[in-house]
Amino acid sequence: MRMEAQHMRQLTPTKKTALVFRGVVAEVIFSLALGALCVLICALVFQFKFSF
Amino acid sequence: MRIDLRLGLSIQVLVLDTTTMRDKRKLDDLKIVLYYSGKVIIGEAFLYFVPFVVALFRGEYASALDFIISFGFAMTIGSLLCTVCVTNRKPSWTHGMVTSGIVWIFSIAIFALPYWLSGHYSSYVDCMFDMMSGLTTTGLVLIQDLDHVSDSLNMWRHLLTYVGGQGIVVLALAIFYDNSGTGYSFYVGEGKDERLFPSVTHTAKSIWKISLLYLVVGTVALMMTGIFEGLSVGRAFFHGVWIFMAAWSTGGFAPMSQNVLYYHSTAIEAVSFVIFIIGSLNFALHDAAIKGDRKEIWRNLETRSMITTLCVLTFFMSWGLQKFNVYPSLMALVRKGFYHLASAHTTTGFMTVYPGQLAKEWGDVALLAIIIAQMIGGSACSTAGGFKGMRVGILFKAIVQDAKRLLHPSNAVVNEKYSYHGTRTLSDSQVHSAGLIVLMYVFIFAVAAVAGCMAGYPVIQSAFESASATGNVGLSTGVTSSSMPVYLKLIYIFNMWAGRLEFMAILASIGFFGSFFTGNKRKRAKEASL
Repeated sequence: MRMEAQHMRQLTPTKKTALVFRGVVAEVIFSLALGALCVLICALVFQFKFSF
Repeated sequence: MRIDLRLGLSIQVLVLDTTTMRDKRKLDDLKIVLYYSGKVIIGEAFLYFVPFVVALFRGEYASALDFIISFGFAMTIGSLLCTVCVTNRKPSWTHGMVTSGIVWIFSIAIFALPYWLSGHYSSYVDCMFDMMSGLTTTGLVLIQDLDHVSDSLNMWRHLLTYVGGQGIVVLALAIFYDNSGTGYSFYVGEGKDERLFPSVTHTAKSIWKISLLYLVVGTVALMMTGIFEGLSVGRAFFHGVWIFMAAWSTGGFAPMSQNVLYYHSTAIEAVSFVIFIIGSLNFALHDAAIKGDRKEIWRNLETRSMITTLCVLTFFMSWGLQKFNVYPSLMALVRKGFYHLASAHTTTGFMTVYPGQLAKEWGDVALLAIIIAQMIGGSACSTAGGFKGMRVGILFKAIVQDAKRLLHPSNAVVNEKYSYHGTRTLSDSQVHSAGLIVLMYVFIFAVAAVAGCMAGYPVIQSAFESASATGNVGLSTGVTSSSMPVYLKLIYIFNMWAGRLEFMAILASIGFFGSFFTGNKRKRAKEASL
């Protein structure tokens, strides 16, 4: 943990900002992918009208 | 990164601690608890500065006066507690836990004053209900005529949700507390059990830095969307801030009585969806992602558990709605059906339909899917409620492990592994504590559901509302209103509180105050026998 903190401190502000930006983008991509997967399930249920 | 994965194991330590300390409990212990509660109250009182500035900026001078009166009241109570109960003793683990528990009760009683002064509530219990709902990021509301609430009061409502999501004690830790080891008990008492850094103060500050980073990003995104949808710049800014605060903290408050339905905007629903999904993720995961370990998002047991349960429940919810042909188009099914399911699973509580529609049109299967999603909730150490995806994942792994043990020879060593910031081995104690917490959630859910039925509401609606309060969600089928019985309001307040703190601090508080009575009884019995 301390090594990570030290590594973060050694980064230039530009590199640190880029790292944070990529982290935020990764989380946004995760949420969009999760949403897309669920929309696909909705579409399949809607299209094929499963009945039990 | 080192993370203490306690998952409620501390309950056992805590019960042991309170039992052994029972006989030597003194007034000093109460003074320590009240002293630190006073400190947290003083810290919270400074939050009034934000809505006060908004009130001045918007020319709402009556509201500004409300906040001045409320600030004076909170500072008086906080200072009194700090002065009368001043002590040099360091708080123990139990003191930290009890303080974390009762400070929430102090908070709803003290900081509900601006609500009462605004004239938008029919009783002080209603104010305290909304206060607990805000602080625990639930989102159930009893406010009347919400559409005509002042901007400053709206700022106060949403700010409380935002602060409550991170934790009011976490806020105090970040600002006031010295860097000693006992601070960890305050932190754990608020339902967060992971350290991002060795120092708990540093962890609290880090949580706030992450939240403030997303506050800027999310507000800009929502503001731009609002402008695109036709809101004026000023209105888009305020609505952006408020919706962000409610989405990030998985709170579910909104500035208008129709909630997110008010905007009739696919774009705002999409942006808010992204924010509340991210908001329901673990702070340790945010920390890992912004430090470069982005793959952790995909391999983490908690996110995998969330993906699985959300997909399975999406299927059942869609099937339930499809069966009754509630929504004739796929777009409506996604915007109304799936949006609510995601809102329930992340314990946000944003709504794009009227509560009555949920109760009358959705049918039992879709409502059951929502109830289960509300109970599961988001991630541990996040702003979300529920019994958490982590515990679902652990219990699932435990089932797999036991099944493997049955299939393997009796002398075979079977250890299930999972990924959670590194590879971990499933232990029996983790399974035990996860099971215990889930059981307690189900118990208080059942109690509130029965109470709803006793008040005359249908079973499914009572269960729905109970799950919403217990899981800190905020979706409603119309049961929650200022006209519901007072005892039901009090039960929901308790469930929101217990659900948010994950029982540990509640058990500690009950044990702590109970020990005063049981301790005296024992003493008297001992004296009588002599």
